[in-house]
Amino acid sequence: MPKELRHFLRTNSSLLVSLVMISIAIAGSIWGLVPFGKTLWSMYKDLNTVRSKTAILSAKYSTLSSLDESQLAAGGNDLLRAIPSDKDVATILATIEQTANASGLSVVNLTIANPGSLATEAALRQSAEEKQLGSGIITSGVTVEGPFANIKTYLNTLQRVRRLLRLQSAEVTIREGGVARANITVESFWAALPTTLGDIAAPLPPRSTSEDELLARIRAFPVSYQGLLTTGPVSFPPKQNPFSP
Amino acid sequence: MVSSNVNLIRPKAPGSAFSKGIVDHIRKIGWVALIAFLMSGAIGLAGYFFLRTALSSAKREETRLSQQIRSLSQVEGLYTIINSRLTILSRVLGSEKNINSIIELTESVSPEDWLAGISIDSDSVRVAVKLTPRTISEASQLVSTLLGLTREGKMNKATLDSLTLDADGMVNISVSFVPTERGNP
Repeated sequence: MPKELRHFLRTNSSLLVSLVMISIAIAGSIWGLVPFGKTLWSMYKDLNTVRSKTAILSAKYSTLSSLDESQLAAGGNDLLRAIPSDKDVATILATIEQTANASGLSVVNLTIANPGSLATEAALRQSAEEKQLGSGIITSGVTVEGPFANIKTYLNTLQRVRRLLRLQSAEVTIREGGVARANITVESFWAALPTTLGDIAAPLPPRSTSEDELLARIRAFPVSYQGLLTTGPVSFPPKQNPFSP
Repeated sequence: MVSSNVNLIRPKAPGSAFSKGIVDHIRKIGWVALIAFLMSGAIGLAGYFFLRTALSSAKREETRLSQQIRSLSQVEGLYTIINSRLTILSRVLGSEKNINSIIELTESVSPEDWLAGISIDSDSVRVAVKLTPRTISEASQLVSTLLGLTREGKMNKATLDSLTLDADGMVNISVSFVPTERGNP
């Protein structure tokens, strides 16, 4: 080593050591601390994601475990009487006819407009209204005859029975003596059962008070096709996906 | 001859007091930088172990809850069915016409024995009524009633669609109107 260099190192050793320390700190920060910091930040975000998901799962589990399965099954069955999982044309006809008979009217004519396939037709293109409602619509026409007062009762009762019917149009002609004939168009609804439960971390929407009231209201609607019931309560196999075969 | 002039005192670095001050600053900066680097590393390591433990614990909790929820899939399925049905029912019932109030409004237009026909259509929201008052003056009274109900806000767009007088003096009137929220609550 040349004498000048040795002299320089000896006289500036503390400065050189300091510069080496600064270099280590800078290089260590760039190649060590920054990537490490990024890893920590990523872990922190992952932790927050997992914690928020866990919070949703915890709330979902808490809700699910507080529900009574037998009550849910009964409620589900009651609602399926109003909106079945397939077209179930027989129950439409029975509801319309039995409601007319209960109102003291005689059914002159009863038609189901364009019933199509009796299967669920899941792939069938839905109308704008069906999309908006989230269910299929079956239109039926009925002509009934009897006293006008009974027709008024019938029109009111039609929208308060299971299966659920919605009055689309009514044309009432009143003849001498208060005897009337009504051509009525009603809509009934069906919606296929969901085939999947969706993401397990999807939050469970809590049922509002108005929905509870609606459920109670629907359950109070009389079922006009009791005699046609051949199936038992709705049940699902106890698997991960209760709707899968 | 060997020189006896031995200098045991460390030779002073050349330079002014100013440059010595700079060197002192650099030395301090060096120490501060190194200590900061090492402390950041140590804190980072502590944070890493903390986060790893917390993440692992949170994932275990997530797995546990997922399994518990899967065991309740039957309940979830039923709950989903009920909720989806309630949504549809709510929409259907919300779009229903209150037939009772429409008929009551129609009957308030005229006595029931004048009523010859009612036509209600949900799409057009218009109610058409055929009436058979016995005299022209009763027909005139009926029109006044319609105007009164319109003024009360129970109906609007009341229209006299036709008016005919039979040879036997019977009057046939066709009117139509749109029930309002007040007339069709």
